[in-house]
Amino acid sequence: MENNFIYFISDILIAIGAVLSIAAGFKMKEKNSFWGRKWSPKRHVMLLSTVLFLSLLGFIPFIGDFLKLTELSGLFSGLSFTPYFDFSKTILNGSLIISPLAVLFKFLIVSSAFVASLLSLPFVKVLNQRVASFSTLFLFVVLGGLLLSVSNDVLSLFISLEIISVALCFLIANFSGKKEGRLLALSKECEDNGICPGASFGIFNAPLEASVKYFTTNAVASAFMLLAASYIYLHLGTLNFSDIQILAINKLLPQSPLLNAAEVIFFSALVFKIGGYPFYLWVMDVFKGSNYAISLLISSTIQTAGAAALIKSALALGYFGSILNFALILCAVLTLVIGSLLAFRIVKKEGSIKDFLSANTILNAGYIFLGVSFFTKGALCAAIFFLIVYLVMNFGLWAGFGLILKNLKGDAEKDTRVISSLRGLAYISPAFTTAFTICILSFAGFPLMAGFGAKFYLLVEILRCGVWAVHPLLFMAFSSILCVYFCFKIIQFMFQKPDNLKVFKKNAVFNKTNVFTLILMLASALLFILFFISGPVIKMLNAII
Amino acid sequence: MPVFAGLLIFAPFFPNSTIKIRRYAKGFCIFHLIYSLLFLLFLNPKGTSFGFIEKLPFDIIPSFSPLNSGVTVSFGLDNLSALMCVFTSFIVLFAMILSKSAITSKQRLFYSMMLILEGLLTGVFAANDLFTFFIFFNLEIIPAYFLISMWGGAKAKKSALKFVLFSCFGAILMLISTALIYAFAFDSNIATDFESLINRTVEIPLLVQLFAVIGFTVAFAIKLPVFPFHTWLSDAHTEAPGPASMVLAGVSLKTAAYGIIRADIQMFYEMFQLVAPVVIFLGAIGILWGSYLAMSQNDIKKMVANSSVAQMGIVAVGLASLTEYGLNGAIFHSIAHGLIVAGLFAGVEIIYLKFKTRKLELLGGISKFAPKLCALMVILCAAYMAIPLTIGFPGVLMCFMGSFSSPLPEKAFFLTNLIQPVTICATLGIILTAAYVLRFLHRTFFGLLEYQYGNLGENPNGNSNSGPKNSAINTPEGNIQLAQHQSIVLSVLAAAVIIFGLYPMGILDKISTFSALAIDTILTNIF
Repeated sequence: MENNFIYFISDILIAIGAVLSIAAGFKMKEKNSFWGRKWSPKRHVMLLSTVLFLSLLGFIPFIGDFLKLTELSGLFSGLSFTPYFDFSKTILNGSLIISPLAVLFKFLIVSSAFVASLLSLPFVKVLNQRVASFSTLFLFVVLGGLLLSVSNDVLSLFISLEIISVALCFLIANFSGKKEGRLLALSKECEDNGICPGASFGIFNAPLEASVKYFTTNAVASAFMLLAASYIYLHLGTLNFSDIQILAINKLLPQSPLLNAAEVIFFSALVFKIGGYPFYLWVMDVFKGSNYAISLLISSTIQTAGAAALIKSALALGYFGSILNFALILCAVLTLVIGSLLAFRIVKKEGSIKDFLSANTILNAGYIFLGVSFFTKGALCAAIFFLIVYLVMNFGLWAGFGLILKNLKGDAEKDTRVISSLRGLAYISPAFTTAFTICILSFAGFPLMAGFGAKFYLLVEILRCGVWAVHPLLFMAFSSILCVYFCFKIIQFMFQKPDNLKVFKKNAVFNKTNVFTLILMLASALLFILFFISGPVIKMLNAII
Repeated sequence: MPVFAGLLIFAPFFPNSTIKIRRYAKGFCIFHLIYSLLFLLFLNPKGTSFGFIEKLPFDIIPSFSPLNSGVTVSFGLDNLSALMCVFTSFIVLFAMILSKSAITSKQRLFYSMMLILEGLLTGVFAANDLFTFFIFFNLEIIPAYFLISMWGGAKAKKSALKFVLFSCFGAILMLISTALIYAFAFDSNIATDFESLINRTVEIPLLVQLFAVIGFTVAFAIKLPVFPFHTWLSDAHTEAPGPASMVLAGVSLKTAAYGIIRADIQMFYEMFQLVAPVVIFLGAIGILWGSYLAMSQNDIKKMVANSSVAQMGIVAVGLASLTEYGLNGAIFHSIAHGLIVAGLFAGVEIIYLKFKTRKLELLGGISKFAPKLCALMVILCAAYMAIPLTIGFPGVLMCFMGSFSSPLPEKAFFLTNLIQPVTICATLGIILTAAYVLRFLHRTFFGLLEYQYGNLGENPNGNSNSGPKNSAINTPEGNIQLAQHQSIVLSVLAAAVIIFGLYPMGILDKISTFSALAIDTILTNIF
């Protein structure tokens, strides 16, 4: 156990943080103080960020190993690193695995949660006394993600996904930060633009409905997963990923249509987690109904966890190989098309920013899903690389839009804030606009930015499967055209002259240094850097898969 | 280099003075022109291989094979690309000079965008592999979008978005084709630079070539533009500010012609021979349709913009003929069209600046007040009509000669038996060109002075009253004379039109060896 401690520092810190958060919540409710200072929801979330930051420090010992895999260790030859990576270390009878891939996913989950917590800071005021339970549930989601990263069989994967889902369900239901007037505004907006699928129900309690929708769809997905697990166990007598891989390598996998069906059912259930087709509707509802902080958590940490589950499962179960894999490719392509169509429609109708961000989440999930659905090592590698780039792009977008949402007077306006609110941003803050434009262009896949590099790499790896792969990519081309349209429309809004420039110029919030501008600038710089250092990163990914 | 020079304008230490920014931009363009010329001079005019090869020391996407360098960014020049780089610097320099009077707002951003555009266009021509070519070919869209939308006319934003959408549609198909080639190269362990792909030892499967050719050809057909992908051009070039139109029509369209030569003709000719008759057919329609559109315009800038469809149709016909004449003619006519159309856009911009209108019905008799402007425009128009001893003539002649002597009818592919009749029809385009150009000259420079000073109340889009009033222009003779910088732009372009018309070998010498080798390879392998 001693040898394994180093791999679980971040998990332990987060677990301690979750317990402390509950305890601190009770104490603060009584005394209304926070280590001698006045208690506030913002300070509580800062505590959450600190816990996540400390757990990020737990990854420092692995820097040397990662650098070695990038083949850049020669640049740091003056420093000595203790090697920790062991590619076949399992614990708890093989249920959990400590591999470089697991460490990478853990790092991505914790770092995405850390940035999400920082970006959530201005939006937690409405949570008031409930912020302690918010922080605790937030940390439980992260814990679920960490367990998922090290899971090595279907059951541990299932349990970790359930931990995430249950925590998220409570988060969605309880922490909307709603106000009475907002519900009416929401339902009216849904009816007006016809984007929200819940509009057909008339006036509704958006967070509760979102939560119920999430819960029921998740329950169905869980049932699918268990069904698939039982089929797999029936045929193979094991649910362990490593064992299944050994069977596949030795060509001992039985040829059974039921096993192929199990594969498709299993992946369909996993697709739910990342909001892929046909389970994408919950993403839009949940985004509309929940607080900014929770939407951000879904868009980053939950997406990372979902992608990790998909990739880990694909590495083990992708060997089954069947004509039914085409169904997954089709679903991936449809996710892309639907995500881009939704985003296109929202931008064309000048819909709400949160709707756009939810469509963006679906769209990018489509790219990850597309990489996974081909089940080759290269395509999976490309999917992970896309996931990394997606996280950077996503934080850039959320930081940009978050600052716009934050910069409003009343809560009632927040969720009805539309894309066209960006109008005139270039006249207020050229630096902010430039950084935001870079993130958007990267999202559209323009060259010299990591978004392009990731898409190109994904394309190359997909096409290495054969020339037939061009056909699904034509749908991707259609999706990309829509993507270019709405991205340029957003840029156009930013460069349009505002109606009242004097009033806008007084608003200097975009020019001040704050966590939003810092993250946006950092994200835009990283998008450039990632493009040029994608070679070493891809080498590392190839080595750890 | 120009990209960094453009970004440098935003550096905090950079002077705020508009005059200094303009001088810096022009100075840099002169430096870049000289720098490009040096490359051209140092290359062996009879050489066919790439020189001055530079590449990033690391891979953007590693190939995991010792034989293959992976996806990286690399540059290299041969005679064709060096010639196009010089041509780019030349046109951008004169666009910069014209900007003095044409651009009056946000100059810092404008000059920066122009320099960035110059850098990206140079990057397209200097690229030494498909990935680099793709990057620069598509990055060019961004500064072009900002140039059109921020300094353009009333419908600029809509036109700019249309331009982006058309360009990106092509870009995505091209991206898939490029990725397909790289996927094949990774699996077959072949290098991916131009020279290795052109002189490859491993055969690329025909199916891969077919998909690649379709993707590349559609992308280039949009950019060139070839009928029916031409609809973006009229709006974008009309709405763009004059100097930007000069670069977009003068150079940007040529990147597509260059791409067809590099990708379709040099690399994937086995499959391009199937597509070539279609290109000739569409090119011929483009010649006639573009000429018809130009004839039917009342706005002189729109007329010039639409005429580019016809002129680039001639280039398409020449390229797809797969003959040495055709290839030489297409390259020559690309350069010729670039020089002429840049001059015409400059002339139109000058007319608009002086008269605040571009409508033919409101113009007339300018020659009486501005004989120098008239003389220079007549030279440029004569070249546009392909009159002998001007630069317009050799290119058109060679393109049509190439099309007539094309070896494609030997193959019984789709449309191959129609190539010669189609070419005959396409030659009618020259007559149509003469018709609209003469109409333009007659209605603008000659005839009665229909322009009523002080009464003009509409801008070229005809929807607002922003024209000059009595107080603005009282003595037309004093105000409509060419300014010094305008005079320089038109005079140099007109001089180039005459010089290379009298001595076309100045250009053809640089490209003839290249064309001969490219066509020899095709003839040896497939005919």
